[in-house]
Amino acid sequence: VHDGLARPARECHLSVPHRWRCRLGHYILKLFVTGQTPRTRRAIANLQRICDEDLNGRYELQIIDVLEHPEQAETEKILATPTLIKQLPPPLRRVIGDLSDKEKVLLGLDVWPHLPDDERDASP
Amino acid sequence: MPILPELDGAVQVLLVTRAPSPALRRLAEEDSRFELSQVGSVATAADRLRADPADVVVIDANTLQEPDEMDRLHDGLNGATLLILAEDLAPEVAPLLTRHGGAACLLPASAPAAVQAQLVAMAAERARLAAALRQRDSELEQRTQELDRSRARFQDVIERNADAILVVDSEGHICFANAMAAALFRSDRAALIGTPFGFPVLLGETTELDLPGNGSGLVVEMRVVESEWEGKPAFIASLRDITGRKRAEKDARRLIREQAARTAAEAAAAQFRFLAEAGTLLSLPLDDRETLTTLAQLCAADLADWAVVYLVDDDGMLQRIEVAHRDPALAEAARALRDYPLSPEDRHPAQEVLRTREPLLVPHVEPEQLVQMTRDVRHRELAQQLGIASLMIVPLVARDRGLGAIALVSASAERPFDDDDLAVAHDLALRAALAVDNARLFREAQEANRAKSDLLAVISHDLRTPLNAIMGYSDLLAMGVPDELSDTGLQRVDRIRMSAKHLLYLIDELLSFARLEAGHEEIRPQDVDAQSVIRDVAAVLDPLAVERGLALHIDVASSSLQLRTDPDRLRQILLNLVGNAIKYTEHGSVRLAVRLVDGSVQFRVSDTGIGIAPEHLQHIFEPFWQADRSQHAQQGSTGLGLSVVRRLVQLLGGSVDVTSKLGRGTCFTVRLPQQVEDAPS
Repeated sequence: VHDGLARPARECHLSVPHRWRCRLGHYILKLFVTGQTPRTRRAIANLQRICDEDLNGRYELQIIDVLEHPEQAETEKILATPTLIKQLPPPLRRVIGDLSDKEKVLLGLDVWPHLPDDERDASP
Repeated sequence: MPILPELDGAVQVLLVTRAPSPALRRLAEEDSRFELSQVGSVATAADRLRADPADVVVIDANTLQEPDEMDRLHDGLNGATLLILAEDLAPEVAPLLTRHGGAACLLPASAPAAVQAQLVAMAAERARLAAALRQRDSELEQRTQELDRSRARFQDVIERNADAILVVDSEGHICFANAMAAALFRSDRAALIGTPFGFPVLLGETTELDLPGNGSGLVVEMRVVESEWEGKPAFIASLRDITGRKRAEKDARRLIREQAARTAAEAAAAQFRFLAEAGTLLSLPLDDRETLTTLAQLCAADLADWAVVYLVDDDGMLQRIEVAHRDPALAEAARALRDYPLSPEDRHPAQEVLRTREPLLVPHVEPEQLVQMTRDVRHRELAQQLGIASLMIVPLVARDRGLGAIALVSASAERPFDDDDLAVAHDLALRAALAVDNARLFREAQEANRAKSDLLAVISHDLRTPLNAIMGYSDLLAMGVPDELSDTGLQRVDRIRMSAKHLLYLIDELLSFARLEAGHEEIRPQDVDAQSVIRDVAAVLDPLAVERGLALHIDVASSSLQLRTDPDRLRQILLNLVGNAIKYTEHGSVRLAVRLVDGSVQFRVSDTGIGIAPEHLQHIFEPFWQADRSQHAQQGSTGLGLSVVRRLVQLLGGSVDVTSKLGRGTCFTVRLPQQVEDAPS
């Protein structure tokens, strides 16, 4: 569960695996869009907001225009856009739509928002 | 009485035998529920059963003539239980029982009547149960069929739905896809099942998606409801192709934008036209009162329903100058409002606007605001009569002087003023204020100029009087009156005479300039020969040219050149120009030429002198202007010569211009009409 954690044992607590993953993990996100449509702009804006507010800067976001990279869309079997794929950390998840509902995006991506710093230190 | 099972209704028993059956007969007699009927052969029994179904059929084994005779009956049993009445489990009976499986059983003939009755009752019950079971079966069958039909209907609805329908599990994998979904994704249904679609996230009811795989770039509208699929939470997503609608919306938006742009352009053009018209009006040298009256009328025609122009009077009080209304029928009321008193105590909004110099916009004038703005009931009535629904007031400010204000009023609440209107009004006010101020400045400047010219005329006239005495007495001295002078004395008196002459020339020049400026000059046209005027000028100035070592050339056409003009003025013009040329030329020559060019007489004075710098060329006709002040003193001139030339040329209806190259020479060209118009005297 704690793949390659070089942290003190104190931090390796089995009861909070999700927090673990997210606190230490680095998110790799791919957003698939189709050209510069209003849908594209809306999804990018919504995602940017979520990343800023909840991923605490620990993410890599790649925006892929399927018109320019049809082969990547093929590989990922993109049926419709905007589609957001969380590549890492596992589990692989994908979300489709305008990403306007933050809670649902996080739920769909299986991401638990970061705890504030003070809370993090206080947790076992 | 034996214990019999509970049975509803009569039990029909068909007895197939040729022998009497006392046990069964007694049963029927003792228990009224049993209704016994009897036939003699299996064939008859089959016929009877077809017409009249029975619960139990009892066949006497002895009536059977061949083993498969009973088969004919079996199909016709119609749910009845078959009992074989036999003495014993005889060898020929057993195959009969097994042949008919559970449907037949043995009724031992030797058994006591009570037992036989019991067996018949049980057989009846079995028949009833079987019948009930069959009923249930058939009902179930019917229900299943109905369910199948209903399912088929639903499936049909889903399959034939114009929207693509997907069921997606909580991890975003497709569990179900209808035919339209397969078509939309250009995939087959089996391939879609299990494909990741994505966890749908949207706020509100629908969101739009792009379908890139489709090549043509479809746009779909996705609607999602939470549901279940095989007991687990899932989403039902329906996708509707809205590509056509989007395109139509885009077209509509473009159309609306174009229309809006056209409307805006038309409005801008209208504003521009209005401002251009107002600008033309305001550029006219009108008396400011008249300008503003016309402006108010223009505003009332184009910008508002009525307009009021306020000006600050000489006592610093704001006054209504003009009230103009679009509707001529209300001219009377407009006049009444114009003449209505306006005092500083009124706190009139125009006074506020002038004080703060900020434009005022009241899109909707409320009744209480009207009360505040007006002085009394009569004033209010006048405003209401003219109609006051929307109001804007812009200050008239020019060169930091508050001159007044313009109020524009819309009488209809359906046409309230907005910021655009205010911008136009503001622009207009700026132009109007400048025009008013320019008119004032122009008037003041004209008056000052006239005063200056009058002063000059008086002074130069007064200067001549003592000069006459100086010249007269120095002439007498030179003539030896009263005593003969010594050579030295004579020399000095000559100096005085020359200086006096020069002073007289300067004063004459000043006087003629002043007269021209004051507009007192008039012309006396005559028929003139240009060549003779030129020769006169040359005769006068040739000695001066010779004195300065210059050649004075005259270039005239061979035939005489006649024109009608004022010869004295023409002579003065040419004397001034040629005199100037000689004055400013050190070496070379001065040339005076005359030609008829395009119907006008063209005099040209050119020299090989010092020339005029390009930056000075535009100033040389201005009074008192000289390229170099030090030259002024040296050459002994007033700087009025060229200014007088231009005035005179204009007086004669002509024009003068100059070209020059520094160090190479200068050329003045005077064009006069061949026929000068007689000046109105």
